[in-house]
Amino acid sequence: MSISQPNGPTGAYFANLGVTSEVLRTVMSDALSKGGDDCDLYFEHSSSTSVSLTDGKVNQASTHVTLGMGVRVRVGDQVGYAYSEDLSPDALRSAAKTAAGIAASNQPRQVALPVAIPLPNHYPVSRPWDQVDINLRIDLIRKWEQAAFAKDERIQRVEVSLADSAKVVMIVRPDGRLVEDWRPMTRAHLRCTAEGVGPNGETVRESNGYNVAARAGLEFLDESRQTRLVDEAVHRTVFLLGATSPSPGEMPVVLAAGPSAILLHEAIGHGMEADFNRKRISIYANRMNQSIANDQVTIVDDGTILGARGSINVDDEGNQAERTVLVENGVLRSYMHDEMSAAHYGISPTGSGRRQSFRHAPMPRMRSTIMEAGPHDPDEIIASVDKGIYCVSFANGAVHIGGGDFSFYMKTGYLIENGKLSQPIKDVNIIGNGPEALSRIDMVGNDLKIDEGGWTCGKDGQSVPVSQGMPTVRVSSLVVGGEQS
Amino acid sequence: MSDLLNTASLIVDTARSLGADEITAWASEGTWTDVKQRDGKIEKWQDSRSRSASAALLVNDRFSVHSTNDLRPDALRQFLGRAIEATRHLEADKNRRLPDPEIMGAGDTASLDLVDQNPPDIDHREWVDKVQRSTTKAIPNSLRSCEGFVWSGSSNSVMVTSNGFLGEKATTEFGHGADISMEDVDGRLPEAADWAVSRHHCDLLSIEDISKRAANRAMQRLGSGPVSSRRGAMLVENRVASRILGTIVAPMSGSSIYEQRSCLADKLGKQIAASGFNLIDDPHISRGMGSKAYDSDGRPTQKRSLVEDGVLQTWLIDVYHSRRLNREPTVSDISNLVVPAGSRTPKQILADRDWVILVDGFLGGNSNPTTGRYSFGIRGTLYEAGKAVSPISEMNITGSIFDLMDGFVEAANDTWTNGACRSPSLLFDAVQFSGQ
Repeated sequence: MSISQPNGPTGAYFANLGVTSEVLRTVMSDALSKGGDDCDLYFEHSSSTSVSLTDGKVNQASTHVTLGMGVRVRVGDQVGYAYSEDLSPDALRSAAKTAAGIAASNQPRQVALPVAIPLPNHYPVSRPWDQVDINLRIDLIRKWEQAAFAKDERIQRVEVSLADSAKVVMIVRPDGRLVEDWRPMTRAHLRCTAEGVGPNGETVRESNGYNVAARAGLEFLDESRQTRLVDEAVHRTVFLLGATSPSPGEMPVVLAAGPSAILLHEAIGHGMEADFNRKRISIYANRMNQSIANDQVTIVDDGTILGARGSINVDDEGNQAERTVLVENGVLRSYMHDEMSAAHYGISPTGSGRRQSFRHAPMPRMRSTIMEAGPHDPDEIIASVDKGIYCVSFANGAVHIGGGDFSFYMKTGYLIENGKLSQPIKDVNIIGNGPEALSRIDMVGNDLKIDEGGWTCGKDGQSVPVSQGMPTVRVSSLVVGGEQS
Repeated sequence: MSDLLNTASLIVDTARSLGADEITAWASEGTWTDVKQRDGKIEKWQDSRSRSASAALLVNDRFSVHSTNDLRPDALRQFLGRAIEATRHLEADKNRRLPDPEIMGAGDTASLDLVDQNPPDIDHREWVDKVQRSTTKAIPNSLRSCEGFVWSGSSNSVMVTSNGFLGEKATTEFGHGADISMEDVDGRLPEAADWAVSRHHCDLLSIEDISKRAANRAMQRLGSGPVSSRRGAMLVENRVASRILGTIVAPMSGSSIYEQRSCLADKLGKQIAASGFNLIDDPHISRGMGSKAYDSDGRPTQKRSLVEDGVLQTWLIDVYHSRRLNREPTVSDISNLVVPAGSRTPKQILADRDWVILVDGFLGGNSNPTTGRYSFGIRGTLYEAGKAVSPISEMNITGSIFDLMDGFVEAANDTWTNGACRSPSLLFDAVQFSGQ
């Protein structure tokens, strides 16, 4: 039941729901009737479908539809926000007048008649879900379940979900800019429960899984990705059966290429979102153009990667996405900006203004956060550690923006002993301080890998899809959770 | 409420006319005002008014769930029509049939007193200004920035089933608090926050008290760092105890038990914690943030002991999983999670110990409900013989939830009431801390 990609002129999708150019101009005029530096109208129509399997049956489906418009009026660093779930002109105007309450001028601003702006397309889709029969979804799910059971006899239970969504957004600005973006998403998740012999000969039961996601249609789930979905889900589950807890304390941590970029996201990324710096509450405030990392470290936040889950053709304020260099050879070069922080700093926004839905005001957010490849061979990095750990997969992370403390939860990994991977380990939290951790990245691998998992970033009560990628990296010291045996 | 009832009834009637055999419909609406003020200036003012509906459908014993906020009659009819058609392609699951009407019932929501019938006229601008200025004033030095926040709102919801159930719930909510950033001597900007929330405006902790609490927290964050790894005692502060209790409650769910993803699957009636530990699900606390008269199956709620003297008393089994597990249902979801209060203050408990870390916040981490393993980042304060010795950050606690609960020593007398988890501070022995 996904929304089809609009095939009419830009703006026609919501015009067909009664939101014509004249309505837009009237609503915008109401929003700026008390003055205000800026305003945006954000229209959204989204739908999602999920089909899932438990206990050997494809026996549950769900669909969700959301429709509405959010209006933001900005006066300097102050924001008035309101929304309407009813797209009738009267309801839209009422929301606009509510948001206008933040401003107090008697001089309304002039607004232009909207003019459509063309956008690049960073997520071309060849097999959109609205043209896929539900039985094909069911067949795929059954195939993955059977493949997982066939892969390893220790697998006891398999749960599968296949979800797709599509969202049409339209953003209108007082200068007349009107953009429209169709944002597809595909996500497949396979979870297994296995029973087997543990490290001490005992019977152990474990659950784990793997998921893949992208701004794409059915074409994303090609044969090789389907095989990897099953293989990784099974491997990551049975791996846990023989894994133990490491000893606790500070030690060198080698992060495998790909999902380890959760380190970037938590330790560095959030602190470089410009709203925290505009408010002077990020640990990276006032560090612009200073050296904050080893010169092997270059970090970008990129909204333009073809088909990436974190990609956007345009941000939720109507600015085109871009590739923003945050750290260049160890030197802090840019924050991620929305309109408000860009105006504060007197620079151009970086296309980083994002929001969860029309019910939320936009703010600077990450898109795809990536560390560029460095000079070292991954094996050389592992071989350089006498005693430490090697992290392979992760569950989640968190950060305190001002203090800079961050943590991420390692789901699977290995001990490193005398330069070699040894005992499998699992389920420990790793904690550190962002700037300190950055300065302790002393080896960067040449094997950059963008993770294909369905990461979602939460901030101030809003969730947005993101991507991340990193080569193998050594951090000379972090505090690793664990238990003394 | 009558509009919501009309919407829910329309969904039931429409879905039935389009071929659904059994229907549960929910309709809800909410109105909220949220205001934030940073350093003397309004930062954000948001007025929200939302409405949505959802439906669980059984079509020829096939099951699906759907939600939409596009409540235009034509759009709703089309939405339900597509939903029913898609449902026909699924595999049958008779366990999804509605509960027997005899075990359903809406209880008595009114007696829970969840609506403030006579709230004062609220000037949010004046309110947030007082919260922010009062908190700022309570911090003598090292303040970087202070944000005050206030919110108020109300919500209504209706649940209707095609076999005759009707439940209605209305709530009001008021809250305020502050986010504080401090300037540490090493350039770090540690943050702290505190807040209060209540169903009735008159129950809200005073601005002076919340400001003082937030300010004290912020001052305690200065100069923090890790200490050496070791095993030792941990007092988990009341307001964050939900993080620990959540690791016990998650594997109690019927889906975890059925899917063999629960470390409690073989523990019913067995000791899972020290004998002094008790845990209760109490849905009937007057004005409670988690109080409810009926659950999502449309069954009347009741107070229930989950763990008594350390012994696991029950799982949380909804009607669907009760049929799959061939057991009696208990309840579909938790309401107010209660740990009974002890007799001593946290200060008295801290004074008893040579070495104890008071944990007042968690940073990330996770738990594994299949095995009971957990590992969380923590922050707090190290106490030695009752004296605060050093603020703690960049440390983890790791272990088995069974070992942790076996080390439970006592609950303090400071029950937290600003949320659905009503726990006092909890003392545990022999917790594995990792640090330097």
